[in-house]
Amino acid sequence: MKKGNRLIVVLVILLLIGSSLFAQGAAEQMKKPVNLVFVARNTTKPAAYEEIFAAFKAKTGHTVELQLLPSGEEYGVLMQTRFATGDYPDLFEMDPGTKQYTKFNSANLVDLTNDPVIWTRAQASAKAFQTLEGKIFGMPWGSTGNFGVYYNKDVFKAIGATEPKNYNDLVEILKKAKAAGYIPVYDAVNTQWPLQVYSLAAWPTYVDPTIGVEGVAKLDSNQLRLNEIPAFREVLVRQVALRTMGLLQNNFMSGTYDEQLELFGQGKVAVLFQLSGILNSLRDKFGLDFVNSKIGWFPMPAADGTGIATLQPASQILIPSKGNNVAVALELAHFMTEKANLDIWYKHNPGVPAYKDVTVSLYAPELTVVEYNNQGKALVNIQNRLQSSFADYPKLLQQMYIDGDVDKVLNMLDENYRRTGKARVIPGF
Amino acid sequence: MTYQSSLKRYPTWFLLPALLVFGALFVFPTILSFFFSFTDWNVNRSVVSFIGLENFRELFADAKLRATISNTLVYSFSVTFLRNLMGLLLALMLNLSLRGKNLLRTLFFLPYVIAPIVIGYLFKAVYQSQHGLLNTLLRSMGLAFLAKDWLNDPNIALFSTIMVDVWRTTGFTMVIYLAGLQLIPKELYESAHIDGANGLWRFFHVTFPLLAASVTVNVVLSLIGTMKVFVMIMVLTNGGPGFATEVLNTYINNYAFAFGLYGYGTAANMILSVLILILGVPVLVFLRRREVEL
Amino acid sequence: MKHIHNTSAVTMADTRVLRKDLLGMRSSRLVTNALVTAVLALGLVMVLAPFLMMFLNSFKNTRESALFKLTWSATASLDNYKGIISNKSFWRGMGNSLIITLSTVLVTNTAAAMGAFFIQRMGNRLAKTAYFLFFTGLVVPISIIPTIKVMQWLQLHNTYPGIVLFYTATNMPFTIFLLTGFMKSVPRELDEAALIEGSSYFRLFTQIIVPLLITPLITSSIVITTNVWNDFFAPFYLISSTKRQPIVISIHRFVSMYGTDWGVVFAFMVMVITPVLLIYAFLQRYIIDGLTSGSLKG
Repeated sequence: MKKGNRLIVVLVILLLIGSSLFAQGAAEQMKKPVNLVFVARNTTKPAAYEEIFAAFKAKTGHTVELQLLPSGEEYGVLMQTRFATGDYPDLFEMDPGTKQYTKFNSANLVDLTNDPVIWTRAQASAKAFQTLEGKIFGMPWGSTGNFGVYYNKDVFKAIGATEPKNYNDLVEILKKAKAAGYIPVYDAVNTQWPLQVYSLAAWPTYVDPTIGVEGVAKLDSNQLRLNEIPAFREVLVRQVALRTMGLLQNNFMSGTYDEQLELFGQGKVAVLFQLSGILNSLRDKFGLDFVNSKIGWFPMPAADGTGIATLQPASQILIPSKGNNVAVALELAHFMTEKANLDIWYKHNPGVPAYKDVTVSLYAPELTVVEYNNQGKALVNIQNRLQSSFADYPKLLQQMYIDGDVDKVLNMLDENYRRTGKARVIPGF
Repeated sequence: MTYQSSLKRYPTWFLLPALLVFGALFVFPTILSFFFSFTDWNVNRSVVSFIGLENFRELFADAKLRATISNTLVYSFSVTFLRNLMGLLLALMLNLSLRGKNLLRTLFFLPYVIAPIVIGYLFKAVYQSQHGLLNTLLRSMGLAFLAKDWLNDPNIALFSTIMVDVWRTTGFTMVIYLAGLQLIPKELYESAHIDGANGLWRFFHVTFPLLAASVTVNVVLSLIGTMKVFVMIMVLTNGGPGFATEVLNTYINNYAFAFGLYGYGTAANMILSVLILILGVPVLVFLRRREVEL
Repeated sequence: MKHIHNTSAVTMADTRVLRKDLLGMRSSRLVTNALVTAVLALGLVMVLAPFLMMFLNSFKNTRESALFKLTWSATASLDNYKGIISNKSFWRGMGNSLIITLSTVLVTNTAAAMGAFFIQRMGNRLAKTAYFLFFTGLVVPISIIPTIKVMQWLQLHNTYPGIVLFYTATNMPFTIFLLTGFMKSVPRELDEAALIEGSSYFRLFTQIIVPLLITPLITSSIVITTNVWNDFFAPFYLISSTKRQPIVISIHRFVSMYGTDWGVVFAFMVMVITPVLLIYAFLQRYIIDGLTSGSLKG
């Protein structure tokens, strides 16, 4: 019938528009050589990757497209969404730790347990950290970082302070700095994520000793709740106290990461609770010499002594097994662990490397961290020891700065933690 | 074949493409959302199971959600009130014969054609506490005491986001009022003149009643639109500081989508739908009445 | 249901009476006029100052642009713009926006014109039901998460056709209303004449009806273009691949976690809004009428 024909004509027109666009996409994928998609967090400076990828292209002809996505909790979910929709990248950066294997379902990841190349080059500790029940799905990448207290040596000198012996000592130094016209602590409340550093850096010093390894295990299996740990509550109470004692910058609610670095570099700020990532940014802004000679580091001081350092293990790179070019992706992974390419990476991103025999010069403050580690006075960031997440923690801490209500924040954090555990089907939740 | 029978034969396939696309990508997902809001569907589960009212129980147990709903309503009603007030004022002024009135209309409407995300970032700069345009202006006028940290002070952040939306949409409201004003027969004014009525009296007894249609359209459209606000808040404050400016759509994104809790997020979206329907049914009734001739 | 073009044609003759004054204070007309001019001027400054700030600072370097001054800088340069123009992903984003916007205009107009033709001419139960269904689309908010699921089932998630069809669905109610309203002014006698002469419905539609719908189709095209070009919500949820993301998403990506280079951000935003501004400058009347006509049917 004619009617039917007309219907077909119209639908064909609509379909043509669609399919021509489809076809375009399909044609792109068929082209040789391969174009790999490498996803990283947008906090990563692309320069090192770009240099390595250029070398990879020169050697193999394959190109690599670097896609930068918003970091933080959102990043993990974006990647999970891409897995759920079959939109696999060829390789992607991820937070360290074996909990990512459950998050992304290891069945969807390339098994690297018996990889002949990576483990001959990686540090044993990095390998161990990525191992779960004898299996490894993530290739370590980058450096072991740290959380802690960074201070400006010039400011300390000007107010006659030395590294604090205990927490009260630290508070006294901050008060002295304030009296001398310095900003005692600059907190990037508006940027949000830096707010977490205080309590995460305090966890090994204050919380681990009271709950022990068993406590962490219980937390991990939902037998202990985050709002039932008095030591953790005290940490947050101390963080709020910095605000109530007036030891933060004026207008702390609008504090940004950028301004934090700027004022710290200019010598107007005594102390930052920050992670080692700031060293790279400070070098870019104020030079290598400044970082090595003017910045000091110590762990969150305990009530009665120096504290325990908090380590952030190197990130990992995961390869989805259902990607379009798994073999080439693996080739790139191996290529990245060659000495020349690791050297490129650590030239741009100095830090305690996850690989052996690489050329890297550590920033002076990091040498202190290494010492702590060698003395066995260091623990891994609690977030990397738990499978569930401190979801939305930065925003909760921001709320804590507004109303000073520590218990409200703890209850909400506990709720988020358990909800995430339940959603991820972690045993015990 | 008679003419009568041919009239009845407009082939149904004319309607099909529109109905199919709209049915598949709007109606069907909307129906699905009823279903999903009672499930534990999330990014980590391939098997979805029914959990009854659990999502809604969790939602209403969340103190954040209560603040979120109240923020959404405050935002929606404030924007609606202010943009109508200012839009009507501007329309009345532009309805006088002024030179350059068309140019003014064009310029006042301008913000409405710009992508809201651009406006959001633009006002992040305008509101910046140290060097932002607004505070600089206030200080230069000797009003330094009015200079605030507009987006980071939890007490005024919501107000600040409201003003951005008012800034963006007043031109739109104004144009609708202008069109409405131009529909008012001048004879009405002439007879009112002869009666010796004064301006205010005329506004409230002649102009305003005849603008009722425009008012209804403006108010209801604004209510529906602002309840769905997302990008503007996401860019300006992302619901912060703390939860001071959290609205339903940012809540859905920040606590459901970002956590991969799809069932929970769909349930939250149901709450938004119900709120909008409560406010939106009047427009349905009102506009349906004007569509009777179809 | 009159169309907006008719209503605005009534226009300014009526203002003769009104123009005497705003509220009837004839004696103080001068004062009123001065007051009105002052208020309008103030309003104008409020509307334009942020745009001016964006434009001026888009030529400045990081440090200077962070001061947001309303002045021209001695060190102003085109560096920010050059950086953006030489960025491949910028052009890809613009290209994606263009593909998505044009496809949506085409598909929506085609489907809506056909639908409106059927709905207005048939007026039977099916037509009325469909009309009501489209109507609900103006009020009920999108359930984005289930939409993602449906897209996945249809293999449309993260594809151009997927987002184009989604925009087609969301723009359908408005377009159907606009065109249905206009269809009423197209005399039925045309249909009858054509059909009696043995023309098919397909020919009747394409050769007689569509040419008469050109005016509202231009209006709907402009509305859809602004809606789609400016939209953030849909691509934010429906397109995860950076290869297919429209330019609006890049603005969000651009302002990374580690702070903002305002000069570059402003330059970027100026580039993104330029196409819309150009269309607005030349077709502002259509845009204003179009964007408001959906709401002022009747």
